[in-house]
Amino acid sequence: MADRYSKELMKHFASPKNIGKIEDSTLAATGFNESDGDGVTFYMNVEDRVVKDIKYTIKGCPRAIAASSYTSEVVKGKTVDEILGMDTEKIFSDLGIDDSFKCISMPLESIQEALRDHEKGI
Amino acid sequence: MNVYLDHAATTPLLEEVIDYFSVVLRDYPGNASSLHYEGLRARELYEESKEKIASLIGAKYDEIVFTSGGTESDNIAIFGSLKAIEKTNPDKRHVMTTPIEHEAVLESFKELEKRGYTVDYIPVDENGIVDLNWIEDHISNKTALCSVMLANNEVGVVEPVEEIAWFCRHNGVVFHTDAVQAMGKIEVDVQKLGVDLLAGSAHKFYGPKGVGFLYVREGLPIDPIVYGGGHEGGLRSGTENVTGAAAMAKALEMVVSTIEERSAQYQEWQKKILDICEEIGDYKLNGHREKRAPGSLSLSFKGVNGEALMAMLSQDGIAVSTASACQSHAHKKGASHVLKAMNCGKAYINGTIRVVMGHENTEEEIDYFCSKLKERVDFLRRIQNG
Repeated sequence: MADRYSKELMKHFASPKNIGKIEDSTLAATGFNESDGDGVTFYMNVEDRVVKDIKYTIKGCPRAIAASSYTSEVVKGKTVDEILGMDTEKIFSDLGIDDSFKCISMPLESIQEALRDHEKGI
Repeated sequence: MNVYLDHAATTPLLEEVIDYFSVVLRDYPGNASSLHYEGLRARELYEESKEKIASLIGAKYDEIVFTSGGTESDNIAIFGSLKAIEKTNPDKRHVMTTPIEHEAVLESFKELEKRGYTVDYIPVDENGIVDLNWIEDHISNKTALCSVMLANNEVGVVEPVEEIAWFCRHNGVVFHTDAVQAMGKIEVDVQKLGVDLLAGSAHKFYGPKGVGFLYVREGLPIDPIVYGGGHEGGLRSGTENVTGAAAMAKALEMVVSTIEERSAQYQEWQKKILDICEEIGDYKLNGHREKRAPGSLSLSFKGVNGEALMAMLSQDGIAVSTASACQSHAHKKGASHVLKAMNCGKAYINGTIRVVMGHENTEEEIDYFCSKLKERVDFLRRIQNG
């Protein structure tokens, strides 16, 4: 486990996956780090309670970019229930980071929040 | 290609210094305080090194104290001089510094606050230059010490230390300057500057880590803060670091001899970098445009995360530093205190990198850096906008 950068994290940071926007997405999720003005916006196509496609735009530190890339890959093709059941702890361990950076948990938390609101019809 | 552009963090040892360091390490094993032949040989080299450092900064032999580096030098200067003042002028409990100092000074002043001193922080303008009028308005017969750095470690601005030192001298205030970032980049002459105390660190001017020096003006009352065998005139006890001192003197001698030509070279490269920044757009050069140590640039790019830019450049083999560590960490360090004091603005502070050139850099390396800088800033802006 690493403090700030791990091999796994840097792999995602070096070539982040799913960057961009989906013009006619059915759901958007945003996460902000107000203290430094960073943030991520996910664009998702949710059909039959499955995230069929996901892309994102981001301004953030290496961990935020890597975590957004990793999270987008993990949630793609998953059902809403599967995503809501995911734990941010797993993201930390899969990315090899042993500390509680908000920028690493933020992507999944923002997607989960948007899906919960979507389910409630908000 | 690897391009090291972080010479404010540390500098690589010059080849000649490595060779000299190795020779001294091998051939001078004695303790410089021993009275036998090995000790006397080591003592002779140690004294020669001190003489060399003194002459390179316009000081006398007895005015130089060798230390373990910049932080220790700053601490001896601040706590040692105040300790001496307390004995003769216990009412002098007011001290001043700037909000843009290195932590070695800032943390020392925080400690002084805990010890009951009244601490004032001299404001700086948006160019990072201290307000001389403010000092004039706030100095009093209660002021014991003022500490203002010579060149700033983050933005590279050079402070009007000569003027401040003159003003302090005429008001009976001890004046200290942290010259760690200035040594080897600009001319440093303690007589011209008129300072009482000046700190330097070898690894910032192509010497080894773990050795530095403190200039203490002749006759200035100062007490030790560490006690032991009474080395360095009783001010800094501890076995003399002969190898470090000799290598430090060698490094400073070599670096000082090329200040002018390096400075001209760095100006050219700075122009190249600023030209590419103009092309990139939405950027800011932090700190005064002219009053700065040559080769030091603090660049802020709007809409870019500085740590991400630093890490991407690192993947390209380019070493720069960022002024803003991620603030979402539990042990967050936060945004740069220097840029905040300069009212740089959050949108820019977050996107800041520091580029500091050095002796081993080449034109080809600077061109490579320029092309990668544009590529990476463009990329980071693109992924923000989609």
